[in-house]
Order: sequence, then C-alpha cells, then structure tokens
Amino acid sequence: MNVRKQYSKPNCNLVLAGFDENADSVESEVISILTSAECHFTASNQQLTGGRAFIENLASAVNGYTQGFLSGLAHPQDKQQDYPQIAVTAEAAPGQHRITLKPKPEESTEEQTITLTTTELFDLVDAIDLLFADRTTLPDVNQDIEVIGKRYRKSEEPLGQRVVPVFTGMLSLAAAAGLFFMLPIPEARRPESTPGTLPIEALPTGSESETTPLAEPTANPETTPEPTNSSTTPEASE
Amino acid sequence: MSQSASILPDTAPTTESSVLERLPDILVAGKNCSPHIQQQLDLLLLAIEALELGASEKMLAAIAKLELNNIISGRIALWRLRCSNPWRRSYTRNFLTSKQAKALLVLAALRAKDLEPLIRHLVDAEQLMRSRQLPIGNHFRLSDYLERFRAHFRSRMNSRRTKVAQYITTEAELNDLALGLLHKLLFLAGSRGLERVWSSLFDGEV
Repeated sequence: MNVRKQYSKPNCNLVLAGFDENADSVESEVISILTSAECHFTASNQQLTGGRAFIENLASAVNGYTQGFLSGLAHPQDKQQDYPQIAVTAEAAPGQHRITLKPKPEESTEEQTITLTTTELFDLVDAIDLLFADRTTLPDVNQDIEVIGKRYRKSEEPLGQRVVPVFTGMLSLAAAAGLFFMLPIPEARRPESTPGTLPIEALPTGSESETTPLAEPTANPETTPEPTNSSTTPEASE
Repeated sequence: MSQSASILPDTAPTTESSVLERLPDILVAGKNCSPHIQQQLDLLLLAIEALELGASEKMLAAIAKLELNNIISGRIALWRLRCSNPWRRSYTRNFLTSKQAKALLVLAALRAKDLEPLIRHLVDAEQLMRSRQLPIGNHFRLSDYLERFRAHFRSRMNSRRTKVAQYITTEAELNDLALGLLHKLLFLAGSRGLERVWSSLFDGEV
C-alpha cells in the first residue's frame, strides 16, 4: 500500500510517497521505502523532484547552508556520493539563496537551479525538520546539527590589516638595531685608584647628610669614640 | 490505495527541565560562555524589543510560563544576565553559564514563535523592497522596526567601543545588523530552530 505524506509550510510543500517494507496491515503509515519526493514552492511556483538520494542530499545541503547562514561561518558541505548532487549557495543579491541539482554525468538532463528567498528557505528547512521529527517517515535517516571548530573562524579584521603591526614592529626593531650597530663601542676603562685613599672618600656627596657620620680614625685604637648627640635618636625626638 | 497525512508541529506545554534538555551541552563542563555568545543572545532579545512594544513585560511572562524563575528570578536578574554583553554600557564582565545562556535563548525562541507572522512579514517586506530596488526604510513596518532597533542600540551600547561606534556612525550597517537578527529570529521560530540557533552560536568557538 502506498502512503503519501505532506509537510506543509506557507511557502513550501514537501510531499513524500512510499510504503513500509515490513507492513503487516494496510493501516501502516510508515514510509521506509521512498518512491518519490516532491518539493513545491508555492509563492515562486518552483518545484524539485527526486527519490531517496534527492531528499537525503537536499536535507544535508540545506542543513549545512542554514547553519552557515545563521553563524556567518560557511560549513563544509559533505561530499555526496549519489546523484543528484545538491548544493546550496548564497546569491550575490542579499536575501537570495540558490539550490543547484547536478544530475548523473551520463544523463542528458541539464543542471537544475532554483532561487529561493529567505522565507522560502526557512519554510524548506522547517518542512525538512518536520519530516525528520516524524519517526514514521524514513525512520533510518537522521539529521545532526553540527558545530564547526575554531579553525573555520574568520577574523573581523582582514589579513592585510593584521600583518601591518607585525611588519611595523619588525621594521622598527631592524632600524633600531642598525642605528645601534653604527654607534662606536665605548672603551672599558678600569677606575683609577690612588694609593692611600680611604674608601670613605669615594662615597657620593649627596648622601652625606643621610648617612650616619662615621667615627674619625684615631691614632689610638684602644680609646672608644664618644657617642654623638644625633638628632635621629629616639630620645632626642621625644 | 494511498493515505495522506499532514504533520504539524506539536504545541505541548514545556517545563524548564524539558525545554533546556532539548539543547545539547556544547560547552566543556565547568566552562562558561564566550563574550561573543553573550553578545549575540542580548542582541536577539534587543531585536525582539524592537519588534513589539512592552516586550520586557512579555518576556517576564514568558519566563514564568517556561518555569525558568530559578534561573531568571525577575526583571533585575534578566537585566544582569543581558549586561554580560560586552557591548553594553553597563557591561558587568560576568560570564554566563551554559544553563543561563540556554534560558535566554529559550526565552527568545518563545517570543520569536509568538511573533513569527510579524517577523515573516518583515523579512518578506525586506525582500520586496530589495527586488524593487527601493530603500528599505520606505516600508512602513520595516522602517518602524529599524528605527526602534537603532534607538535601543544607541541608548544601551557603549559608544566608546570601536565596533559599536562604527555601527552608531553608519546607519546602513546598523540596519544590516537589525535585519540579520530578524533572519535569525525567523529561523529561531522554526520547529527545530532552537537547536539550530543554539549550535550556530558555538560555530568557531569550540
């Protein structure tokens, strides 16, 4: 017994006909063997038809294109083995989407192309989603919504703009290196030390007021120096 | 002999657990959403606000209907979640958890489903104006939506951010952003739109 199912949206009617291979009764509503699939776009009066390969390829191509349309990152389209091979691409005009059906090379038929508006594409996607949600139609076929990885992400800045800072940095580094290369290498001179000079004399003069005055060397090392009446002692400050 | 059956989407009532479980966990456990996802979610809600007057009240009613009160407890909680958009003037520098992001998208999806006839009409109007090579702003309803979107965007986004400043200074770019969001809302209203838009948010992120 043939079963005919229709998935209707305002701009798109998806009609599938087939039968259940394991049907025990005439009441079965399952379509496991698809005999024909038709996709009518009522507003633009366009139509696509085919069999199981057609509906599977259409679902796969539309699914990938829609995800790319939503995220702005083009999804890689799976290589379709069976004919007709279907591709969905964006038209140059905004809001228009082109579906191309490529028949078998040995067939004499030409490529079929239709152009859809965004609402027609939405209705097609929704009709296909309804078809896959209905587990009594092609229960062995599933459709996964996939996420693409970081390597597909496009930078918001074009490549030309992104490489400018890198080249500017490298150029300035090279220029600075060239300038420093031309400068003479300063001669290293050992500090001249006069014999008999005490190290205390080499102290910078600016730090004299802050440093604790040192006791003058005395001739008699046994006598202890008298404590200085410094204003920094805690007793003096109180 | 042949049979004919017409399949319509089911409109069974949904609860928080069931509706959030429909969305797969794409994020690695323990990781939060990226600023890009947060920005997209807020912009979708901003587009809904531009589509209808009193949208915030309807969003609160939708939160109660979806039983999402334990994630979005009220008006302030919703505002704080939306302020995770880095473009916002009142950017909170918070990161949304997977559950919070799902709740915001489910909320947007419910509103988009209610507004589907209007969204569809506006998308068709855009196509009509383009095909006739007329300015998009000449269409009354579309012009109304674009004007409100621009006003919301200008009043809430931080003009010191380069991208925001670019949008604010170029009206055509801001209109394109508004129309792009309108297309996303149309697909969000579809029978599997929630999953589609949820997955698209993570494209190039994982």
